[in-house]
Amino acid sequence: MPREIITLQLGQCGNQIGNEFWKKLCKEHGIDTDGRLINGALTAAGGNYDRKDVFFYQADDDHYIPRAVLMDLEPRVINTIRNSEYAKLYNPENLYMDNQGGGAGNNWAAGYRLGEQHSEKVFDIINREADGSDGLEGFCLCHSIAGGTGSGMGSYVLENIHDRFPKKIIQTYSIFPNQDENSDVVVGPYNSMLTLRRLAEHADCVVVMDNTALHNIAAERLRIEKPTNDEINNIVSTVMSASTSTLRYPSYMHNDLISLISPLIPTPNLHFIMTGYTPLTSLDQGTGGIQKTTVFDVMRRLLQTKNMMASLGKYNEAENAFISILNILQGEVESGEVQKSLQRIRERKLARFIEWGPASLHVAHSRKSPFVSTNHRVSGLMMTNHTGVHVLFDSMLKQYDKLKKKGAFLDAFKREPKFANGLEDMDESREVVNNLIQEYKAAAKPDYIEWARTKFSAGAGDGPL
Amino acid sequence: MASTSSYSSRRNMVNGGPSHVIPSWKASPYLRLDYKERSTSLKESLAPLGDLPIEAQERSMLRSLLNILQGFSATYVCVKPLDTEGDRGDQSFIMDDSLDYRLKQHSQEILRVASLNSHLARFVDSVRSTSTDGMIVQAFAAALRNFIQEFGHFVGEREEAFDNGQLTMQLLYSQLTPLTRPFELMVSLVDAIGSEALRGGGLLSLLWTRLQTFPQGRGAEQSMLLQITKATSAPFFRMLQEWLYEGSFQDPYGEFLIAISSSKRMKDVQKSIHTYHYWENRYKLVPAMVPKFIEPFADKILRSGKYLNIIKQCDSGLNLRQQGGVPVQLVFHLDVRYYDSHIEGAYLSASGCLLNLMLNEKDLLAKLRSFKHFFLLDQDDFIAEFLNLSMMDDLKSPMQKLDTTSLFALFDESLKSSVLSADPYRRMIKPSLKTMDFLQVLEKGKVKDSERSSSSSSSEKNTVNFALNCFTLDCEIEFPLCLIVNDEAKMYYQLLFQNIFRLKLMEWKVGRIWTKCNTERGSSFALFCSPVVQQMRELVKSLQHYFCSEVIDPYWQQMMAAIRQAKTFDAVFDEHSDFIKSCSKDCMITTEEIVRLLASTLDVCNSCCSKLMDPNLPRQAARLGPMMERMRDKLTERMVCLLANMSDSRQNRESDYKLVAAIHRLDFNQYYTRFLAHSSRLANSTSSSSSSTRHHASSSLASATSLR
Repeated sequence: MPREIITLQLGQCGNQIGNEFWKKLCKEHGIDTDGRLINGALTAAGGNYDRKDVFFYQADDDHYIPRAVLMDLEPRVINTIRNSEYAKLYNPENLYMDNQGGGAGNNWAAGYRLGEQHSEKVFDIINREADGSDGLEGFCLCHSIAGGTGSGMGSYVLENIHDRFPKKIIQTYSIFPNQDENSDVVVGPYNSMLTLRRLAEHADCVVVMDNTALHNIAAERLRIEKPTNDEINNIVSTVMSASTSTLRYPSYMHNDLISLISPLIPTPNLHFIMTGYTPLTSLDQGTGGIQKTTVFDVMRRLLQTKNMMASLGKYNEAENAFISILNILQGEVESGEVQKSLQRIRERKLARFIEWGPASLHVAHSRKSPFVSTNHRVSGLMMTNHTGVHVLFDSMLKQYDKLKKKGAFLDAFKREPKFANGLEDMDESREVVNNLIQEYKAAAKPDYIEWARTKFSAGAGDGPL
Repeated sequence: MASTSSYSSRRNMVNGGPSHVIPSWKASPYLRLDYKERSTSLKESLAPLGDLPIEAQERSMLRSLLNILQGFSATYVCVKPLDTEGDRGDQSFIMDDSLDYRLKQHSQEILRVASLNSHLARFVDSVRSTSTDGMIVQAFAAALRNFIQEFGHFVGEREEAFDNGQLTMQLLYSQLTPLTRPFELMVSLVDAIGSEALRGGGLLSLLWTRLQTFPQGRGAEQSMLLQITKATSAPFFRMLQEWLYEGSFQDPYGEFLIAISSSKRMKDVQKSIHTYHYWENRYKLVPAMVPKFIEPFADKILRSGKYLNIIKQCDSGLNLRQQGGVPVQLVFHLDVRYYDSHIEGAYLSASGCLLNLMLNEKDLLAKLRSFKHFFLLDQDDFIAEFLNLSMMDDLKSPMQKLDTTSLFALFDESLKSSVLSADPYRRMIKPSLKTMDFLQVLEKGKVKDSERSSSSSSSEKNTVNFALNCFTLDCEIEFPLCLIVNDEAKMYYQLLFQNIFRLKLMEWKVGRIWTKCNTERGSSFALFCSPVVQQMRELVKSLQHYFCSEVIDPYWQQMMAAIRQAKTFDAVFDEHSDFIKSCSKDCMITTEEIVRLLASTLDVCNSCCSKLMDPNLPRQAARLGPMMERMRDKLTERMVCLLANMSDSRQNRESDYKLVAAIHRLDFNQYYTRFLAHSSRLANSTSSSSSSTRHHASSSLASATSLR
């Protein structure tokens, strides 16, 4: 029984990055746009066995079908996929959209309401997928947190999956909004806050993909002045495929979702993972330039915050620490090099770790797909739980507070059933996020464990003390 | 004459030796070369020679001497019976005392040659009268007989001259005396052979040594000796030739440097012929039979023929003669380099041929890769699944109550969805349960002893072996690959598997608890358990990373690179055996103290996991908190001890670079170092009697971490 993962794609953003993700997976496993193995894919592996069935299953005619459910409240994006060359890849029954729908209007509450409305049909699909897998390990949710569908409907789905599949791991790839420019989503801060609460409460692992940082990285690393959505999605899907590579190409360790993410998350609340990837290449592979890559180069660059796909603004390095790091290296990696690099990082103290427990930089060497050629000798993805992530939450909290203080754009929310009886959910969400910020700040200090206990005994806790 | 020949006293017939009956030479004395008749005195009736004129004396005496030299009896010389038991010793003669003084002097010198000749003749006769001395002694005797016969010709010519009146005592004397030294040389050889009961290769060694130490300026004798050595060694080189190039073993008299160990029961042989053990013991060097001139190559000779025999057993289409190239007709040679080059050539060909067979026909590399997949878990996507399937009841139960069939079925089930289901050799691997758990096997300590010698001690009976700890893999390796992955290697593979498997098991348990913490987030359980869970997971992950990525994989790459370069079977065997031993050493399963400490650390983790998975675990913070705190302390203490011990044993062995890596891996953010610094500060400030182990640990760990 494979440890299957079902991917749930919600909203415009979720479906776009999801689609890119599947394109990458197909390429890496030698699967063509129709889900068939390309010629020679069976033999090309030559003893380097890959594991397609974590993410795909096979139809009766043996073609591969992604374990993906595509959901949207308006038909545009999914129709685009339907009309693309990948039309035949997905199970048509798994494309769920509201044909008449005009979407959630960038309103979390509307998305949430519509999610509830469509929940029966949506969960029929999800249940069918879950039943179709032998040893479902978890779900992977792709969405943005600022829009309407991905955030609102995403929140609804998240809550309900958590209830319906309590033992399954829920991992999300969540796109955080671009804070640098004025977004067209004026209520973005509300949406984000409400979604963040669900991510904090119901997800086991949230991979934070910060649009601000993604744009900066595209501009600086790839030297693209005005990065298109496709470029950004390409980066995101690169991260997604790299972060799942050990599941698809089993190695000594990190071969299922739990062994991949559990070392990153020492306590249940601290489950927001930031990523970094190097070296990045743009879609046409032309820009960005080819660098000389050694294992140490890659590992050192990954530790630099500027390569992190979360913008930490005025982040103070001395006040923050790595809680955990997992580097997934691909390419020509010799274990001796890894060991030397680890030693140098340790000696030169290139990474500041938490002090309240043993923590280390874990390295997984993932095999590379034989079907994809890259210009670089070594590439690496870092997944890290870093206390600096609170900076991101902090700035979102501030934007929310600014908007909320003015009482701006609240009418659209009040019209929705979720807020018919008041805006408590917003306040509670703010509190949850604030607590999260405090906890991440505390985690940077040596006395985090005592801090958590004090806080626990101050609160009611569960049951009689 | 004594009936038992001392030259042939030592030999017993080799099993299965020739069964033909050799006619008894002794029964027909006229076939002997030596004197047929001996007596104690000259005939009484003879008138004293001294009464005759000097010319008549000379003629009569010459006549007698010629007879004696040709092995007959004579009128004026009597062949005395031998003094010594057996055939050895000088032959003495009686002459007429009244002989002219000058003639007597010459006669005595001439009789000296006759005595030596008789000595040789007796040796040749004794060899001919036995069938067990072997072909090499026979060849030597044949060479001696030629020598004697040539001497006979020589004497015959002298007789002709005598008949023509052209031989004088003076002449015979001057012609015979130069032969004394060659005769003496032969006799000394014969004596040496007799006294040391030399035969086969031993005899060749003697000849070789004599040749090597031959005094300068005696070229004629040296070339004669060389001639004899060549003749004597001919049967040996025939055997060597057949062995080296064809692997055939024809040695009915046990003269070759290699012996086949006789197996008592043929049925067993049939069964075991395809095992490492069989081939390891099948051929043995016989040190006494190794000729000195090929002593340095004896091992290679042994291997060459052995490998050819193994190849023959493999039923492969290989044509050995073709593989070996055109065999050279081996002969005796004074230059050792001659043997070196030819034996090396034959060895390289045989060993390379076996290697090619293993690589090409038996797919050795792919099988080693399968070993890596299963035993070393380099593509492990099935263990977690296996644990999911079986952990709930089967593996937890004690061995006695275990339903092994269902357990093994679950193992197969978990493999089905694994990438390893595509492994062409997965059928080679089977799950297995040992009677002893990992530690017991290690504690048996002498990792070398196979577990068949399990003299069940009382302690074993008392401990309940849980199936989990005894779970391992087994494999059936076909011949001839089992010569590389032999029983010892297999045992190391199993230990390495168990070593990783126990970590996988721990990781699996920790993962379960982690999931529970996540589903109960905000609860006291999640709050108090998380730190200890994190600590255990770091330990398990770091150890796994160290074992797999820093020990096994680098050694594996090294081995594979070396095997790709390897030209011979032996090179590959050595590489593989180095690999498996280096892995075992650096995976810390051979250092007793570390094994024990690691096990006790993991024991703490295990009991910790059991408590955390116990549904009756108290939920109240007031009870749970201190309980978890105690667990953390205990675990930390064990970890510190382990780290200190590792750093100690590192300091003992300067070259132990890998252990440093392990220490750094386990204490990457120096949590334990800080812990120690903190606790030793505390100890100093309160000057309380902190445990000395901790103190010691602190200092050695500190030094270890500061060292790079």
